[in-house]
Amino acid sequence: MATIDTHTSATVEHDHHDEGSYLKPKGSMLITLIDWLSTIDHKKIGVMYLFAVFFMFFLGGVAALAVRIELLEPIRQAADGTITGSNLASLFGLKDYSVAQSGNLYNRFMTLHGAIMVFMFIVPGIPASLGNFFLPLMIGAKDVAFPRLNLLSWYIYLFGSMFGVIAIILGGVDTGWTFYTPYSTTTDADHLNVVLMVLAAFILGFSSIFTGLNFVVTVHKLRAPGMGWFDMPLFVWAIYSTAIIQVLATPVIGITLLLLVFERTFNVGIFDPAMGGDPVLFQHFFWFYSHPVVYVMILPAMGIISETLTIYSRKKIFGYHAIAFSSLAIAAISFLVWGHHLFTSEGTLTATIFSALTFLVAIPTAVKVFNWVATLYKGSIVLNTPMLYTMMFLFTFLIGGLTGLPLGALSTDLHLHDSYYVVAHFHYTMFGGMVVAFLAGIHHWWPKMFGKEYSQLGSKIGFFLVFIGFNVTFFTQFFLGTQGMPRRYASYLSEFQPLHQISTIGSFVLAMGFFVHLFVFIQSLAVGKKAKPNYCGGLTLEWETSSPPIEHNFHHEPMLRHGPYEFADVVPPQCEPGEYPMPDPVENNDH
Amino acid sequence: MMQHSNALGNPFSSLLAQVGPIQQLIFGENASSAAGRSSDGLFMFILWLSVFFFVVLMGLSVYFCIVYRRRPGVTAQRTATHNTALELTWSVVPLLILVVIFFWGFDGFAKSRIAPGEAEQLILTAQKWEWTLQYPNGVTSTERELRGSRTQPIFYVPENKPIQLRMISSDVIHSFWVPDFRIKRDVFPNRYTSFWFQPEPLDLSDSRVKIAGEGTADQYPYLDHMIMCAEYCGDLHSDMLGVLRVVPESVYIKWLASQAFDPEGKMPWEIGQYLYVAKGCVACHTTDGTSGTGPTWTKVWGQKHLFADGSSVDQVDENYIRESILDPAAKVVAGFPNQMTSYQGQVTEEDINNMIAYMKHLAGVDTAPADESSEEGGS
Repeated sequence: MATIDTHTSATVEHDHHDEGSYLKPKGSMLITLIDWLSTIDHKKIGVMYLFAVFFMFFLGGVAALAVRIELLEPIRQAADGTITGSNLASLFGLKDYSVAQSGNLYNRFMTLHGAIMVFMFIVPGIPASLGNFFLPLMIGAKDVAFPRLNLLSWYIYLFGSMFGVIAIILGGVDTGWTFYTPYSTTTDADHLNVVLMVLAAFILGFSSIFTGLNFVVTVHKLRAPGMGWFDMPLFVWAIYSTAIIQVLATPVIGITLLLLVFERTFNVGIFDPAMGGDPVLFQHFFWFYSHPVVYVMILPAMGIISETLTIYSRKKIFGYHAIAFSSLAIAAISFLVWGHHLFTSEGTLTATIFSALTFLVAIPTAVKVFNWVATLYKGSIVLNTPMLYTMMFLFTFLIGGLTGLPLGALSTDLHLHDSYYVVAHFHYTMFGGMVVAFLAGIHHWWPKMFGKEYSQLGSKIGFFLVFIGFNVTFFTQFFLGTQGMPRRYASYLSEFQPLHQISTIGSFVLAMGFFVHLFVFIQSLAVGKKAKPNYCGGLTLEWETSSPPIEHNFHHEPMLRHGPYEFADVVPPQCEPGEYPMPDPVENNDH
Repeated sequence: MMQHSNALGNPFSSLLAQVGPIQQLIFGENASSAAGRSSDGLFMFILWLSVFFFVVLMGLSVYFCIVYRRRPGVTAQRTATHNTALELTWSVVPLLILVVIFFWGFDGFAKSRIAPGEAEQLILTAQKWEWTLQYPNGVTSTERELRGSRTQPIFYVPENKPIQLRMISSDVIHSFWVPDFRIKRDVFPNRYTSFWFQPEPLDLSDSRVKIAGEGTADQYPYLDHMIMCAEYCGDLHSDMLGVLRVVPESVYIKWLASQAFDPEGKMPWEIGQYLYVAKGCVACHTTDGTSGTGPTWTKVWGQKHLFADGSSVDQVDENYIRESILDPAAKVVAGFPNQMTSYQGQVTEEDINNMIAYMKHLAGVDTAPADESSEEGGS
């Protein structure tokens, strides 16, 4: 606390006693709007991020539905030239199109879906929204270390997202979210599209670097008095590990960008085989950045699960140190496994080394899952919406992780690589991991963020639709992949149609689930009952302030008196006596 | 010819040689190669292992959620929050299992990468969006059949003989995947990669084996394996297919001879017609008037062409066609994407002349009257 004083940088006012919720309007609509858009309050920035990533998720979701609609039927051309099964072209009312053009339309939507979801939703999603809001609260700080940088990173995110979406739509980018050269450069002699796309990824990456730096410094410098490293909630550990990866990995995408521009401007062969470049080099650069980023996507999700699982089972996390260190181990190993995306193109020795390294990353991940399940043992488990999503996370993430084994093994990967099996696998880890944990986190913290309760019944209906829709959509895709359906196909052999149709039906059930959640949240904001300060009996510091938190987070600088998960020994703050009864003080365990 | 299928056998695969209904459900068809059976065996091993861990972990989770559900007056119980022996066990046991999976996977992988020395050498060329296979005697397959939304090339290969493909791309990265063999390999524009396989002996009890020329003296069994492009390559990526047709060796030899194209005594346009298929022009340009990825060749010669940049030529002539083959990006016909890659170095001056003759023939302006009636001729 000595070196960085948040009061000078974050706030001007010190009058904490008559201040209200951070959500309290500052005046007229316009003044409130200006207040929000110029805020340096991490909570408001977190909320603005939350709505921004929600919107991106919506856009990416619409593109996903478009992809599923196209795949309802294979595209066929009759002898007289009439084309059937091109659902997107019919949907857009196109006349006189060819098979190639309808394929191109599909490819653009596929690109839009992938690029939006990965770069604008999954990567920034949890750290920028829930991380921004709760990291300072959980360590008892008044704000992040650099509040203005925090606001800047939101604007950079917004700019990068708009830039990326507009570039894809106007540029007609059809390369998929990976922009592999030489396809992306030869289809476009100016390299404009790939340069714009990598630039968009880099701008968004810059926003991540700013957020990441901010979090690293905040965790190092602004922890409440008494909070040692191993007193930190696991969500903070996860966000901290994530921040380190973001700061270290993102520059690589900048290097790639520079090399692409360099190649184009000075005609030096780097990626372009026609100029003597290496056609696979781009893939190495791309995955050297994007593979660590896979863990940027999943680590914060694991952090959320560590919180919800303990609070709603009233149990201390099993193996706190193992979970904290496994986050760091995953962060470290994640830099050494990018080559497993390239088994079908690499030399034999390279592929073998990457396969071995890939299996190493499975161990810390497995350890986390074992720890979570062990935590539930002899707990007092309540299956509300956040806990249902936590259980769904275990279910889907376990499938996602286990189905990764045949992709890490060399011989099986030769068949499954670039097939629908991979599509199913990474949706089980990304959607089944990140999105499901995000939903758990949002439902867990929503009343804390907005001070309003939401309908348990409504959100449970949403949960069941999401659970069923998700599994119907993506479980079928494992079978498509093993049976020989390649990914990124606008059309397919007729034998694959039944499974594609089931998958599309599932995707609409999934979308319905999200609309139910949206409705429940809007209803909560409009007419939700006022939430109690500590409605779930949590022991971390965010439960010591009101719901929603006051503008400067805490009335008094919080002092850490107990660990984050000591449910058996500590009365939760701000709860009624006996609301969360503690077990018998006599230990019934040999430990 | 040496028997390779035994040498290829995976030491682990005998453990799981039986193909059960679940494996059938997952893969649809049984693997048609020794390497494929090895990798399917590993897949099933991982699957059952995964099912075991999934059932144990999810079973425990659901059991805990039911037995320890929150009830009034019942609190969570104190349990150990750390147990070194348990934690070591669940770190070390998965590690050992992963070591087994790694070596099993490596074993199958190494065998799929190393071709036997006496394998028949074929050259596979990939381009957007067509596979071309050149046989040792220099011929390429011109046989096509309808698969998906268009006709696809048929490549004949002899049963039970090792075959090695040397693969190269003339534009972007493609990936040669034969799902029935459970192997794919990327195809690059600037270096060769290799792909080897040994089609299994044709087994008449296999329901996929069909009989060609049934009832005639020339009947023979054959088995088709689909080829798919697995590396995204653009608009017609999903139509970049092919068929690997496994036939008895005697049929293969006869077919190879029948595919040889003898330009001797042929009209230039006939040679052009052969090149149209053999060089893969057929992937994008039709000769029936419908639009493919590129303009149809029935509307080329002597026609007015509008270009994407607004300019135009009044009459397509020899120089325009020549330029379009060697430098396709110079003039892009309006309404079509700039997709074609240059044929510089892949065609000779003579080839170009023959193709020009074929386009003239399609437009009905043959220099010499064609005797045999062609359905496109004279339109």
